[in-house]
Order: sequence, then structure tokens, then C-alpha cells
Amino acid sequence: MKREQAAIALLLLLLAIALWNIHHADFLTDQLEENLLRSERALSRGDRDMALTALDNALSLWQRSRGYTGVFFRHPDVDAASDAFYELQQLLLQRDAEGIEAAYERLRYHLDTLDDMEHLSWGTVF
Amino acid sequence: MAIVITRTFIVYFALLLTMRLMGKRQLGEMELSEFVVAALIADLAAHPLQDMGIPLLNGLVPIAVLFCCEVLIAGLSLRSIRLRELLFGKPSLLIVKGEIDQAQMRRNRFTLDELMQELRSQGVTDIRMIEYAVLETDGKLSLLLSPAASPVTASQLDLPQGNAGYPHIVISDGRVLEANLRHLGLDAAWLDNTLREQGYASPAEVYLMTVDEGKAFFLARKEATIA
Repeated sequence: MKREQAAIALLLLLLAIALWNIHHADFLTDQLEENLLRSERALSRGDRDMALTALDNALSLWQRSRGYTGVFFRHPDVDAASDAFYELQQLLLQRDAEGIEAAYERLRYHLDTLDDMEHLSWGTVF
Repeated sequence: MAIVITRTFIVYFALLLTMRLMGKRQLGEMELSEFVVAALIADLAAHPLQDMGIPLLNGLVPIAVLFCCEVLIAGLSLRSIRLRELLFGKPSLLIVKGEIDQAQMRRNRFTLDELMQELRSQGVTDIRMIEYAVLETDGKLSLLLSPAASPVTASQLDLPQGNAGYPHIVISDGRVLEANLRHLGLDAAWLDNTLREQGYASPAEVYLMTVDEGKAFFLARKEATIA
């Protein structure tokens, strides 16, 4: 009976961690995308410095979360999102307008993918 | 992580169902749920080790989930006969009073060749010798010989039946196992006397010594000390 109780407790603990993980992945990607949106809006107003500051905020949050992302996400997906961050930062620093919209979209796509992969759906399970 | 857990549940129950439908003879000597867990765990553990891009958690979480499933299924099947039958099936009588039950053979996908092989491996060549052949839920075939083919017992021959009990190892490769000696109600003095009577100077000269509850013993000398 004790073994069964321990098994139920372990399953409940794993499910609780899984639910926390879904919530935390949502929270993290929402914060990153908020900064990304702020950066994009600033750029559309012509305020490139503000756009860069907002992106740097997002990047620093992303780097601080490396411990979490390394444990819970597949490493190639984390690397792809990091690459997209640095690519966008480089375009902003170069004051190069060409391809910048696509770079924002690419980064947003990678962050959405990371978040989607933690959500239970027919697509992700099967 | 929720996806990993959900996938593990799905794969576990899918394999359990598939193996259940495939029949007992696929199992060897494991129970169905044990077989499913063994088949899955070996593969699960290898992936995060081979591919550094997969977080270790993706290998550990399914193993923990499988462990929980196995413990819960085993616990529930202990309490519920119906669940036990549903998951593991019932023993099947393949031979009854020397007659092969062909319907049961078909139902269990057991071929005549496999049946004959099993019988031969248990020293039986004549089906008429068998009262019952039972295909157990773990895939093993148990044979009950007919009274005419069963070996005679001491009670049938009215022979005295001494039961000295289980022989315990008292000396293993020169080392005295004190706990076993105490369990038999014996002590070091008894051991020393017995060894001396048998021509041993010390336990270090003994490779194996077993003693049963009637104090009957078996001794084997260590090769290095054989003259």
C-alpha cells in the first residue's frame, strides 16, 4: 500500500511540475514577446535606440532563464531561439532596415514554438 | 513535460493492450506489465545519453511515470480479480486429461510445434501422460502428469519421511556467516568441533559448508588447501 501511495504521490508531483512548467513557459514567452512588441513598435516610430533597449531587456531575460530552458526545452529549439535573438540584435545595431521585420517574425515564431511545445494538444501529443 | 507524461501514459497503455491482444506466448517469463516496462525503459534511458540535445528530464520523467504505472497496476491487480483477468488474462488449459484443447491452442496462438517443444523441454514425450497442461499468464507452460505417469512419493511407499529443512550456508569461501549459524541455533564452538572432527584446522580451509535444521552438514574443501 505504501508503494502505491508513493507512486500516486510521485505522479501527482510530476503532474504539478508539468502544470507549473506550462504556466512558467507561458509567463516567460509572454514577457519576452511583450518586450519584442515594444521593440517593434519603437522601431516603427523610428526610435531605433528604444527598440534596441527593449530587445536587450528581452535578451537579458532570455539569458537569465538559461537554467530553466536547458532543463525543460529541447536544446536545439533553445539554440534556434538564441540565434534568432542575436540575429535581430545585429540587424538593429547595423541600422539595417532590410529583413528586420522577418527577423522579428522569426524570433516570435521560435518563442511561440517553445511555448506551444509545452501545451497539451493533439498536435503536440501525437 | 506534460506532453512527455501524456505520451508515456499513451505508449504504456497502448503497449499493454497490444501485448495483451498478442497473447501470452510473447511474454517469456515476465508478467505483461513488467514486459511492457522492461521494453520501454531500456530504450527511454538510452536516448538522452546518445543525443545531448535532449534534456535528461525527457528520459527521466517517462521512467518515473512508467514506474508509477507499474506499481499502481500491480497494486490494483492484487486487489481486483477482475482487473487482473483483464490485464493479465487467465491461465489456459491446453491439455485436459491427455486431450489437446484445439480451441485454446488457437486462442493463445500456440502452435503444435511450440507445444511439443515445451513438453520435450520438461521431459514429456507422450501427451497421454499429461493430466493438465496449463499456459500460465506469464507464458510458462505448467504440466500436471496423470496419476499413472506421476513419480511415486515416499508416503505412497510408506517410507519414513525425514525433513531436515532448508540447508543454510554457514561457511562461504572461508568466511563464516555468523547470522546463518545463529539462525540454526548453533555457535562458534559447535562449528570448531565439527570442523576439527572432519580434519579441518580452521574455516579458512573450507570452500563451502551448509548445515540443515537437523544439523546434517555438507563440507567442501578449498582447492588451495587440498594436499
